[in-house]
Amino acid sequence: MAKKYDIQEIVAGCCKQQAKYQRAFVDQYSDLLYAICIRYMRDRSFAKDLLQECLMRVLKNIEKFDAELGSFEGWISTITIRQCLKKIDKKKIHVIPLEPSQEMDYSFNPTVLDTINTKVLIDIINTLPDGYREVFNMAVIDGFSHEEIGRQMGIKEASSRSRLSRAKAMLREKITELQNQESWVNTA
Amino acid sequence: MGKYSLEEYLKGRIRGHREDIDTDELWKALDLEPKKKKPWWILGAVLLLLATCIGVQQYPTKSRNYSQIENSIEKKSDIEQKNNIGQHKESQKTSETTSLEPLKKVEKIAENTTSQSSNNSLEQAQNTNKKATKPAVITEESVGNYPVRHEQVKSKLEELATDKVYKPALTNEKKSGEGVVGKPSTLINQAAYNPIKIAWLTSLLNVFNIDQRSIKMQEATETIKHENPPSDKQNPWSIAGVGGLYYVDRELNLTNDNLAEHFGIRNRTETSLESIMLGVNIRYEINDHWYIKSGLEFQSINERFNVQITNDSTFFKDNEPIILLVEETGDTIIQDIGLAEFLNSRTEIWEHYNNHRFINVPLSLGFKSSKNAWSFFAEASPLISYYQGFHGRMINLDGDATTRNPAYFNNKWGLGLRLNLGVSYQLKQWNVFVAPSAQQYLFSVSQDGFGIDQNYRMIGGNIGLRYKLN
Repeated sequence: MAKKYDIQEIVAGCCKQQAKYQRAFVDQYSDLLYAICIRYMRDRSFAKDLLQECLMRVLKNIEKFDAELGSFEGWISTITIRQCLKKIDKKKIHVIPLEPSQEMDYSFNPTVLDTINTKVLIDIINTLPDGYREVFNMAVIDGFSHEEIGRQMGIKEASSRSRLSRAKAMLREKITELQNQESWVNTA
Repeated sequence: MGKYSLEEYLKGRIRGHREDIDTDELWKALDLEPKKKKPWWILGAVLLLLATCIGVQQYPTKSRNYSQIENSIEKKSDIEQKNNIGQHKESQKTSETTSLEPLKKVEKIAENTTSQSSNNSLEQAQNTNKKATKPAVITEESVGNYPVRHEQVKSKLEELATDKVYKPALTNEKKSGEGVVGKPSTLINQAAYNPIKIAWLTSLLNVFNIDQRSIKMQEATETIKHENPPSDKQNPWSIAGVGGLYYVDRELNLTNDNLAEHFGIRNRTETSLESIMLGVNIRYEINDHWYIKSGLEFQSINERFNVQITNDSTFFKDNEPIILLVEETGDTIIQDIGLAEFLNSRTEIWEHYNNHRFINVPLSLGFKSSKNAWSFFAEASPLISYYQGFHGRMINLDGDATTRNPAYFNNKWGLGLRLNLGVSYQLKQWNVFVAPSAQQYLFSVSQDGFGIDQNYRMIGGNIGLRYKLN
C-alpha cells in the first residue's frame, strides 16, 4: 500500500519535479480524474488517453495552484473538464436541436436509486446525446453556471439552459422507465 | 415516498466518484520532463569512452615498439649465431631482420673488432655461446677483452647495463642463463633503444682512443642515425566518419482488435520514407583480416502523414431564434426557445513529415581481405539502440491529428542488427569505403501494450572516410 501524502506535500514536491510526489499525485488522484473523463468522454479507452494528458497538464502547471482560491480537487477537476471539452470540441458533434420540455414536478424514490451502482448511474447519464450530456454534467454534477458553460463550450447561455432542460427531461424518462422495471432494482 | 430533487440526488452520488485505474501503467506512460535528459548523459559517456580509447592508443606506442625491437634483436642474434656455426639459411631472412639492418652492421663491426683483437677471447665466447645457445654480442666482458682496457669505459658500460631506462633489456637477464651472453643488457640492445646513446658511447670510446674499431663503430652509428628507425608494426587503431541512406520497410501488427479502425486509418494515412544515419566509430585491427569496431550513431526514420480531418462545430446567428409553434386546445402558442444552432463542417487536407529517432552504439566484428589498395570487407554489427520517440503528428484514437503521445511512443532501449558488405580503397593514411547494408530493429518502437506493434527493417548503403592513426 503506497503511503498517503498531504496535499501540501504533494504540491510542494511536484513543484520541485520530485518523482516521488509526482507518483503520489498520480496514485491519489487518477481515479477521481478518470471518473470525470468517463463522464464527459463516454468511452473508457478515450477517457484513459485523455487522463494522461490531463495529468501531464496538471503536473506542468501545478505551481499555479493557489490554495486560497479553492480546493486542489476542485482545481484539478476544472482542468480535467476543460481538457475534456477541448477534446470534445475537436470531435464530430452533431447537436440535434430537440423539442424543449416543460419544467414539471418530478417525484422519485431515492431508496430505489440507492440500490443502483454509481457506475450504472453514470452509464445512464452517458446515454444522453452529445452536447446535452456535457451541459448536464457541467451544470448539475460539477456546478458550473450557464454563463460559464456557455463560455467553455462556445454556446449561448440560453442554449445551455435549453439543453439542460432537455437533458433533465430525457434523464427523468430513462429513470422512470427503470423504476417501472422490477428487475432494475436488483442491478446493483 | 417523498419528493426529492433528482439533480441534487445525482450530484450527491456522482460528484467525487472515483473509478479504479491501474496507476502503475499510467505512471509508466507519463512522459515527465526530467526523463528527456538521458540521451545527453549517454552521449557524454560515449564521448568520454572515445577520448579514453584515443588516449590509450597514443600513450603505449613507444613501449610496445621497444619490446618489438628487442625481440627482433634476439632473433637476429640467433641468425648470427647460426651463421657462425655454418647453419645459416637464406630463408631465415625475415622482414624483421631486414628492418634491423643498421644494428646488424654495428654487431658485425663489433664481432670483427673483437676477433681481430682477441681470437682467444672470441673462441672462448663462441664456446660459451654454443652451451648457452645465445648470440655472440658485445658485452661488458667482450669489451673488457679489447686491447685498451680502461676502467672508466668499463664502469660506464656497467652503468649503462643497469640503467633503468633499459629496463626491458634487463628483464631478459633472468632467462638468459650464465656465460658471456648471460647478460643481454648489451651494447647492441641498448643502442637499439636510443641512437643518441650509441653516439655518446662511440664518442666515449674515441676519447679513450680505442683504435680503428671505434671509427668503424662510429660509421655504423652514423648509419643508424641517418637511416630510418626500424619500421614498426602498423597502428591497429583507426577512426571513421560514416553516413548512411536506407529504404525503410515498416511493419504494423495489430495486437488489440479494439484498435482495428485506428490500425486501418494509420495504414492508410502513414507512409514510411527513407532513413538517414550519421556516425563516428573507432576500429581496432586484431590481425590482417579480423577487426572489431564501435562508435556512436544517430539514425532518423522519416515518414509522411497524409491527413484528412473533418471538424464539425456549431455556431449561432443572432436574430435567428428557434420558434416553436404549439397548438393547444385550438390556440396557437408561439414560444421562443433560444437561438438556432448551425452546423459548420470544415475538412482539412494536408501533409506532415514525421520521424522516429534512434541513438545507436554498434558493436561490430568484421573480416577484410586486401589486394593492393583495395579491401573487401564484411561486418556483423549488433546495435544497442536508444529510441528517442516519435516526432511529428499522427492520428490518435479519437481520429484527430495529435502530436507526440507517450502512450503510443516513448523513449526506450532495444537491440538491432546490421550486416554490411563493402569495399574500401586505401589512400595513404586515409581510406574511403562504401558498404551496402541491411538493418533491422529487433523491438517494437510503440509502447508495450499499446495494441499496435511497429517494427522497422531497412536496406541501403553506408559511405565513409577512415583515418588510420599513427
